[in-house]
Parts: sequence; structure tokens; C-alpha cells
Amino acid sequence: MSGRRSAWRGLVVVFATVALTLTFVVAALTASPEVQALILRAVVVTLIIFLSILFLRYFALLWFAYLGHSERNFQSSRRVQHLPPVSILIPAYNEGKVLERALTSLTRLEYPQFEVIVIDDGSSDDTLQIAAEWEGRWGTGEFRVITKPNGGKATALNAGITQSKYPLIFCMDADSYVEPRTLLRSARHFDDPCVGAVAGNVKVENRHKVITRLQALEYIEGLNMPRRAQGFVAAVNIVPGPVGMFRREALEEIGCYDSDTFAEDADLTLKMLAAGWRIEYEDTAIAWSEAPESWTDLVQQRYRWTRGILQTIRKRKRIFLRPFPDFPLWVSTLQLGFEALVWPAMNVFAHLFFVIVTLLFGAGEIILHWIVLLTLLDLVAALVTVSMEEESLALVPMALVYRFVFILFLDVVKMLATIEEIFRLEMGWGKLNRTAGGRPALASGIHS
Amino acid sequence: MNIVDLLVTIVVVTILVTIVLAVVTYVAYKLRLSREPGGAATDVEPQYFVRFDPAGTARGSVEHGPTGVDGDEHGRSEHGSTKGARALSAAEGHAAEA
Repeated sequence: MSGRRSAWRGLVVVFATVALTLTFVVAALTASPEVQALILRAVVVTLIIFLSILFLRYFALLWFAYLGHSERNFQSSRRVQHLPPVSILIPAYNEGKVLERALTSLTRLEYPQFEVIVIDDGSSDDTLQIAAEWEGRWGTGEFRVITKPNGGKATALNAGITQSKYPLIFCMDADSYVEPRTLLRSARHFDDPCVGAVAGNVKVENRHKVITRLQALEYIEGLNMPRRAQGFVAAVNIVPGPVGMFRREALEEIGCYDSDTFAEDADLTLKMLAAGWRIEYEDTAIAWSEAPESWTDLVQQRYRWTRGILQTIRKRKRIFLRPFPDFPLWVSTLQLGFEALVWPAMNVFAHLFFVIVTLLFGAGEIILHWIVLLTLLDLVAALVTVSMEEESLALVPMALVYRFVFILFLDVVKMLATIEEIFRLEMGWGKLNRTAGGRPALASGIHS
Repeated sequence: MNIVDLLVTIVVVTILVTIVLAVVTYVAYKLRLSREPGGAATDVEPQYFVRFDPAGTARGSVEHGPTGVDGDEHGRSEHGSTKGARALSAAEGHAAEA
């Protein structure tokens, strides 16, 4: 059983990490007073370096996000010249519980001409039967379904691209649903012939638990804010799976999706940037997605994201040494690497380090100032980003526990997943438990 | 214990508990994975650097849905004519409202 072997190897890696940390604690405790004084000074230096990077990152993101927001407001008054027909692709593997909701939202799209293709990726539940019931014409859209043996999301999307016929391709997930104007808002960017893709805005739909409310804030502050900042320079580094529109010509030029990573969306985006296409962000192209409702499901999702992104970066590791001539791609890959690899490790080690020196050397007051400062920064960032997205202000207080509980939790998971990826332990896609929230399938009106 | 010490204690305990919980949840996830049939890896060989070939995939491995709809010339299925027709009228109603 290779799966069981892989799981046990993962556990060994976890325990090895814990053992290393404990070794550091024991070494610090038994060290001479001179060494202990050195450690204390290291705390201060580490604090300054860590805070500097954190502040720089935060302010750069906030500033560019603000510029992106202003630019979008200015351009929203621009008249759309042409709305090409769109092919909507929905890859689905065992999504019977949620597919109907996604399809219902598509019947409400405000767009002159589109087709919907559900690609059943060899599901073992009733996904195919449900999709087949929807075949036919719905308003301005034609709905159809194709089926193939199970081969992963990338192969399903490629099959859908091959079967589609329109010049713009919109990809979404079966567990998401879109707002009526999502296509309209995305398609207007393609007036510019240099634009190859437009990333939309993913929002968390199920906000009835603390864990999902924290994810809702994370999507706004941690995912959409960087994407908005990247959008300002037309170099978004991940067009998210639940809401992304592509120019067919660009997809065909780069050979569509590869099946060699677990983050096919990030991989495709970097390929597109490498081919010289611009990738923009549209915050009013909204898709609502179901966030994991249990901590184990959340771990499973982030484990896959982290390893998928690392696989994507590994494919392009040579880029790190060659900033020119493709500087935007270099920056995007570097940023992806920093966010996936460096930042989580820094965050976890900084927290561990500070806890240890508080316990051993009584440096608690410094740490407290540090936590208070960061929490204030998070509150401000949450307020700004929530306001930019015209979201519920009720999410802002979540910023109080956002960094040193929620993000720390996720960063520990990312770090452990990174260690597994470094050792190239086997992994599977995993399937999250879907609830469909027990809600009706209407995109608008649920979150007003 | 003054207020600063109290806050420091809360912060330190919270950080430690969070890290421990994250590791425990990760271990729980790995254990759940190991108990699943097939485990973390499936029987499918890992695919590395398989570039999409439109000509090869286009009409080969892809089958159409159970309704036998073919390519671009699709129409409404038998299923579609029952539930689909009902839903279609609803959708047209929405379109008219819009």
C-alpha cells in the first residue's frame, strides 16, 4: 500500500521537525550565559528583519491594490466594444451534490451568447445523470455534457476546450456558482488584444461557522488583495479555478493545461505569462465557492494547494536565475515562491522562536508589542480590503485572530506539506466533502 | 500578575496551542488518508509533463453524454425535454424579467 507508506513517511517528517525544535530548546537552556545573551540579541534583530519584510510586503500590496481598484473604477465607465461568445467549461468529478446549483446560476447570466459544457471526469456518483438532465437551450445559452474516463481536472478541462467552439473560454468549478454579470465583466478586458486571461474574484459562500468566516476574510485580504495588486501590472500569477476567462488563441498557443502538477491553474497562468500574454484581474467577476467546513478538510485543501504550487515552481526553477529578458514572469514566479515557500516557514519559525525566547529569557513584552502591532495592521488591512470589495464589515473583527491563530495554523500545514514535497512523497488529489450548504441555487440575493 | 504578563501568557499559550493543533490536525489528515481505500496515491501512474495534444485527445478518449449529442450539432435530450423543458421555461421567464 503505497498510500499508507506515504502517510507514515509524512508522520515521520512531522516528528522529525518537532524533534529538531525541541533540540533547539534544550540547547538554548543548557547554553552558557554569553550564548543566551547572544540569542536574546538575535531576537531583536529577527524581530526587526521580520517586521521590515512584513511591513514592506503589506504596504506594497495595499498600495498596488489601491491603484488597481482606482484603475478599475476609472475603466468601469468605459464602453464595451464587442462581446464575443463564450464557452463555459465545468469539470466535474463526483459533484452530484453541488452541480445543479452551479448550472442554475448559469441560467441567470446576462450575456448575449454562450455555451456550457459539463465535463464528467468519470464520476462514480450521479454527476453525469444530473448534468444530462440539463442539456438543451436555456435562454441565451446552450448546455451540453461530455464524459470521459477519470484523468484529473487538467485532462477534463482540455477535453472541454477541444469540444468548445467559441473564442473566449470561461472555466469554473462545479462547487461554485457565478453572479449574473460575471461573464460580462470579464469579457470586456478582451478588447485589448494583448490580454490572454482575466482572473475573477472568488468569495466564500458558506459563512455560518467561524472557520468559514475566517476563510472568507482570507479570500478577501490574503488572496484577492495580492491579485488586485498584481492585476494593476497585468501579471496575476494565479487565475483561480472557480472563475477565470481565457482567450482561446492564448490557450492553444501554450498547449492548454498540463497534468503534471496539482495546481493546474497556477501552472497554466505562468505558462501564459511566459508566452507574453497579459493577465488582468476583475473584482466584479464574482464566483461564490464552498469553503471547507472542518479543519481536516481545510488541511486537505491547503496541502494540495501548497504542493501543487511548489510543483509548478519546481517546473520553472531555472527562471529564478534568469530575471531577464522576461522580468514580469520572473517577478510573478518569485512572488509565488515567496508566498508558498518562504513566507509560511518564516512565519512559523518566527512564532516558535519568539515563544521560546519568551519562555526562556522573559522577552514577553517585546513579543506582546509585536503581536499588538501586527494585529492593528491586520485590522487596518481587513478594513481597507473589505471596504474595497463592499463586503460585510462583520468580517473585520475576525482580523483579531487572523494572523496568530488562523494564518499560523495554515502556515504550519503549508510547511509540513512543503517538507513532503521536498522529499517528493506521493500524493493524491483528495476529495473534499461537499454540503451545498442546503441553500437554494441563486447567486444573487444570498449575499447582498 | 499584571496585565502585560497576562496578555503575554495568553499570546504564548495561543501560539503554542495553535501550532500543536495544526500538527495534530495534519497528522489526523494523514491518518484519514492512510485509512481510505487506495490511500494517498491511486493505482494510476503519475503523469509527468504530459503536454496536451489537441489532435490526439479531440475525438479519441472523450465520449459524449448519455444522450448521444454530437459535437456542435446538439439538441435537447430526452431528459432535457422533461426536466430541461420545465427549467427552460423558468429560465426564459428570468430572461424576460431581465
